[in-house]
Formats: sequence, structure tokens, C-alpha cells
Amino acid sequence: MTSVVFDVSGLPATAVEAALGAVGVTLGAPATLRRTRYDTFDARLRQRGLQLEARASADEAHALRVAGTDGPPAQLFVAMALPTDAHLRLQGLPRGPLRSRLLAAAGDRALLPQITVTATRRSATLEQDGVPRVVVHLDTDLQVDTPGAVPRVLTSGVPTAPQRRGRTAERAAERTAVTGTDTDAAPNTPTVAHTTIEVAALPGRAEEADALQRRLLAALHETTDSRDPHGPRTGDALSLASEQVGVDLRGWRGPVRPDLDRRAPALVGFRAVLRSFADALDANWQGAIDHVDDEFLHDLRIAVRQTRSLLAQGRRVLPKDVRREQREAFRWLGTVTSPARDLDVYVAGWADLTSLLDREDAQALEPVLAHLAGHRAETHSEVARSLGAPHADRLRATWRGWLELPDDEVSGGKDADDPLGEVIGARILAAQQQVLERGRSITADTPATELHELRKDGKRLRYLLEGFGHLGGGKRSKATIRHLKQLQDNLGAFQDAEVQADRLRTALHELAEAAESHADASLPAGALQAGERLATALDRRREEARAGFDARFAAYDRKPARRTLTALVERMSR
Amino acid sequence: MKVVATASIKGGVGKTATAVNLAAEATRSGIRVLLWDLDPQGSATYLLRAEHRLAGGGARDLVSGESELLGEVRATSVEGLHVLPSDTSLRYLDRHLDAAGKPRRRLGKLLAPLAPAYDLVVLDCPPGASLGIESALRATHLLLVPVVPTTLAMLTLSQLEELVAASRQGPQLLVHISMLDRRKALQRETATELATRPDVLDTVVPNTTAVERMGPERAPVRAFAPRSPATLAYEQLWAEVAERLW
Repeated sequence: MTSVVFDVSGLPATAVEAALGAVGVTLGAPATLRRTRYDTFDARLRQRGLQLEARASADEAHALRVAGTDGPPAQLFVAMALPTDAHLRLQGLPRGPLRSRLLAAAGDRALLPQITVTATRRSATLEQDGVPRVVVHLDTDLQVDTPGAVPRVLTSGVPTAPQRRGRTAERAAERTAVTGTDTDAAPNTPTVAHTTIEVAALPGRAEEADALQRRLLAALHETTDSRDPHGPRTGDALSLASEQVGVDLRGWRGPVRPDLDRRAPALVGFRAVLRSFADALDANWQGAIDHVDDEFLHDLRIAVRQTRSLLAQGRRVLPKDVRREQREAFRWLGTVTSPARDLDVYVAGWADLTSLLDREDAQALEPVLAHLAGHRAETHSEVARSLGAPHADRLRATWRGWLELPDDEVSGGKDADDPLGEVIGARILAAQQQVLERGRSITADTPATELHELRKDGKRLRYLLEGFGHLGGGKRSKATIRHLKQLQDNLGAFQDAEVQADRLRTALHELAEAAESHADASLPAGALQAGERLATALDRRREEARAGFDARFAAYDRKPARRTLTALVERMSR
Repeated sequence: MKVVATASIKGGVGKTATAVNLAAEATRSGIRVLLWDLDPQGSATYLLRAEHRLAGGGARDLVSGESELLGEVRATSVEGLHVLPSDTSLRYLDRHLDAAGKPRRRLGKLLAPLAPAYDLVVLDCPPGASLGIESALRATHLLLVPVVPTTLAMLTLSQLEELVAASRQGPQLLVHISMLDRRKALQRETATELATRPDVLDTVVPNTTAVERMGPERAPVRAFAPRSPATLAYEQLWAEVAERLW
């Protein structure tokens, strides 16, 4: 159902009612309606053409409403009020098509409230011969609240880091200092529309809705003798309010890739890419502290790893003292966030792991999952403590402060003024050489640690390609990353299976010890044997990955693949 | 997308009331519903305030694929419920199905493209045992048969069962007791006997004035009598049906 909305805030109520009356709209009784729009941080519902709203009306009816591009909206009536300031738990909804659709769209991401609009609504359904044709809503006394951690839009249209409600002025000021952007600059602003008319077309009635919109606009102009109101705009009152208060319903789309010039000074290019990593770090910071979902910490850690890798590559480009200080700071960030992420992966992948076992064994291992989930909660508390500490705020402020300095106020190492393309090209070639040399030296007898080192070499190369590869041509860069990814997937499977088996054995050992020393702790019969069977299955998985390594590496080391990378470097260094 | 049909060889058993109220109740549990009024009388179309008319060549074009089902869909007075309206040309549905080839598979084929837009399609079938009914049975996951607890209704139920048994990939058949008049001893006795069958649902829809008022109100019972026994019965009926669908 498409609809358009008129902002008639500037018009007297009598004029609005007169215009509606002139086009034959007789409104029903007023009722308070509160609508809260939800989406994931990266707007996965929107990408699938879905709009999810919680609606609460004065008669205490609570409904979850999903509108899509296909079919009618779906409404689920629920007994309790839905959260307007916390994320929505899909697992708590009854099984059925609505939950399945939302889960398929949102995946593992939490559904965050983006905006709440409360209004007094009066509606009319225009009928002909008893058949509904067009629906009209008059919303008055609109109040807007932006309760969630959602991306905001500044006037430049660039999405910024999320904001949180309830921050004190001091915290907000600190944040502004840290991010360099005023993320709390769009409060519940008085510029938002407080009266709107929404005209919604019913299926098969688009022409009649269009005609009514035109007549209504003419009636409004005639009544008021001015060019107000604003409209009509496609959408509804909630979308209009979002636009007006600066809530970006398009969600977080990753950091904006800087526009790099391969002939520009290397230091300028390094700083631009590091700034984009810092944007990703900031965007995911609060979500990682709150552990809204696992992806915040995951994306934060990617930004940390990318930054660390580029700091390492920045020898002779970045200023020595900045590089040394920030390598230490980001090493700390990596360390404090690592255990939580490892356990996130482990717990999220538990179903996949235990699919290697029969049902009885899987059930016997439930205490292991509970044990790991307990550890995971502790590690997330540690993440919250560390990232929420003044030390972390200072760290970010210092880093952002340096990144935001004008280019002409920053001096770097001896290669700082060399052309970016040349510097990066040399780094990529060196990283590639390292991958090839180590990979070629691996034989059946090579210890596992060498394969893990090769994986790290690969990551270094990948981050360079992801940050700068497009300087040598987007197509070549993507092809090279694809080749590398196939190798990395194999090395990842090898290492993951090893880590998973080790962690499982450790957890079983801890549980067995606890069972021995505490009378109230016990390990179900068969857990140890089931655990050993799972560890053995993981060992097998690791061996399979190991057996596949030679072929994967040979594919990566093929002449055409190497030539693609060489051509990429030649192009960026030209 | 699931398909539920309400059908009965006998007329006047509350088949359309079941289809309309069941569809309306389904919309309250997060389900996008399309009701296809296959009965040329168009009672469901009327009750849901849609136009009793298909565009162009009516049922012939729809069955042959000349016109798209989605293009004929209309909104109703119930949010979340669309209707594919009836049309007098549905009197010749059997003939159109026959002309289109593979008539028993035809309705299923026509419904397939609706899957992205709807979670549930409710087919309100005309009374009788026609080719159209056979085609509807083939497309249906669950066949809901309202039965007034009388001897003649029981007789036609067994006829419908035979039709389902003869149909390849026939739907699950479920019976619900409809229009029970508790003042009549014979109806109470028949209902008690009927309830012992495993395919009979627990819900009993009573014979109430609320259901009769659907005509003048042109709406499902919940719209004008949300606390009536009939509304509660249809709510419970939907819960029983939904449990078997998802």
C-alpha cells in the first residue's frame, strides 16, 4: 500500500478540517497511537523492503506490524507492550510466518528501536457502494522520540556514529570530542511536523488515491491561500519525522571509502584510510559495550585489526611517535576484546559443532554450552568495563584528534611524501612475497604454527588490498582478494577446528574439576565421552582442512593469479 | 504459503462465514491473508466489502492466465486481508479449467506466484462436488469442512471424504461443528457423536445472531461483536488450524 504525507503543521486546525471536508473526508473519533519503527543497525529489514513497527493504541492494544513491498501488511497482536527503548527479541515472538520473515531478514542482528512517534490519530475510509477506496489519517500533536542506537544524518548526508538516549551532557560532550562529530545534535527538535495528513492507496485503487491527493492539495491551498503545506511526499508520517529529526533509516552502511589519489602523498592516503577505520570503530563502539548483538564487537574488532595492520605497514610513512603510541593502544584494544569475540563465535556456532554428534551426545554436552555461555557473559562484562573506561575514551580522543588534524599540520616519516601508489604497491608486493615464501615452504611435516603464521601473512595482504587495492583497478583488486580469500578460508577452517577442540577439552576439564570439588556441581553421565567424541570429530575436521591446503595454496600460487596482483601493483605505482 | 479451503457439498452450513472469520482471525497473528472467493454467489466478496466483479473476461481470463491474479486483488475492510473477488463468470469455472488443460492442477499453478505476497490463501469454495472443487483440493494443504450436526450434513461429509480420498495428494481434512443450536436435542446428540472422530476439531461455532449480522454489517464478527461467543469460537478455530499449518 503506497501512501503520501502532507505536512500541514503551519496551517490552522480549522483550515485543515475544512480542506478535508471539502474533499469528502469525514474523520472518525480521535485515538492516541504510538508507533515505534525497528530495524537492525545496518537496516537489513529496509534492504528487504520491510518496515517493522510496534503500535500501541489508547485501548491498550499492542501490535507488531510488518509492511513489505508484496501483499498486505502483517499484524501480530500481542498481550504486552513492546519495548520502545530496547531491542526487540524475535525469539520471544510466537512461531509463524511473521517471525520467520523477520528472522530471515535480520539474521543474527538485533532489532533496534529507531524512532517513536506518538500522535492523536483520526482516520477515514472513503467508500463507494460500500467498498473501501482510500484511507486518510490526520495525525495531530505529533511527538517524536529517538530512543535507539541508530545512525544519524548530518546536513552533509554522511551517516555518523550512533547516539544513545540518556547520556549526560558531559558524556555527550566527550563523545563529540572523541568522534569529531556532533552525534547528539539532532534531539527531539521542535522543527518536526506536528500535524500531518496521510493518504493511503488501497490495492487496485492507486488512481483514486492520486485523485484525492490532488484534490486535497488544491483544497488546502484554496483554504489557506498560500503555498503551504509541504507535500505531498511519498511515505508516511513516521518516515517524514525520521527525516526531520535526522534519523537515518538507511542504517549503518560501513565507513565511507575515502577518495584516494595514487599520486597523493602516502601520509595523506594512510590517514584517510585510517580515518575510515576509525569511523567504523566509533560506529560500533557503544553497541559492543552494550552487547546489543555480536556483530558490533565483530565489526569493531575488524576495524581494530585493520588499523593495527595499517599502523604496522606505516613504517617510514606515519610519524614515529604516533605510530608507536597507537600500535600499543590498538594492541590493547585487540587484547581486551579478543576473548569475548572468540566465545561469541563458539557459542553462536555450537549448533553447527554439535551437528557432528548424535542427539544423545549433543544433549550430554549442554552443560558445556552453559559453562561457555557463562564465561562469555564475563568476557562481555570485561569488554564493557574496558571500552567504557576513561582510558578508552582518551585513547579514541587522541587518535581521532590526530586523524582530524589538517594534512598540512602533520609530518610523517621519510616516505611520507612519496606517492601513495608507489608506497602501497611496494607494501603489497612485500606482503605477497611473504605469503608465497611461507606457503611454498610448508610441507606435510610443517608444524601447525607455520600455517597460523601464513594466515596472519594473508590477513596483512588482505587488509592492504581492501584499503588501497582499488588504486590499481577495482576489478583486479576484487579478483586478487577473491583468490586470497579461498586460501584464507582453508587456513581459517584449520585453525578454527584446532582452537575449538582445545577449548572444548579445557571446558570439559574445568567442569570435571568443579564436579569433583563442589557437591552441588555435577557433569552428566556421558558428557566426557561425548566431549571427547566431539573433539575427535574436530580433529578430523582440522585434518581435512590440512589435507586440502596444498591444492588451495597451489591455486593461489598459479601464474595467472600472481600476474593479476603484479598488474594491480604496476597500475597503482604508475 | 499455505492454502486452506472451506468446502462442503451441502450449502448453508456456514462455509463462507467460516472462510471470512478464519481469514480475519489469521490477520491478527501476523499473517498476510488472501481470500479467494470461488463461489459465484459472491457472499464472501460482499461481506468483505469488495466489488463483485473481475476485470475483462472474468474467470476465463484468470484461469487461462490472460490476466494475473495479483492484478485482481482488492483490499478489504480488514487490515492485512485481501480478497480475490467473486464474479458471476465463476459459474463456468469447470469449463474454463477444462479448456486450460490439466484442470486439477490449474488452481495450484495459478496460486504459486502469490507466495511472496501472502502467507495464507483461504479458498471459499462453492457447494457441490465439481471439477473446480477437485482442483481446489489439489492446491490445498488443509480442507476445513463446516458440518451442521444433522443427518443430511453427515451424509454429505462422507461424500466429500470420498472425493478427498480419490484425489491424488489430497489435503488433510478437518471438520468443525458449525451453527450448533444447543436447544435442539438431536443436534446435541449428533454433535457429541461427531466429536468422537479424530478429524473433528474441538471448536464448536454456535448458531448465533452475531453470525447472522455479518450480512447487514458486511464484516467479520470481530469487527462489530468482538466479545461474542462466535468471535471467540472463530479465534479458537483459527488457533487450532494454525497449529496444524505452522
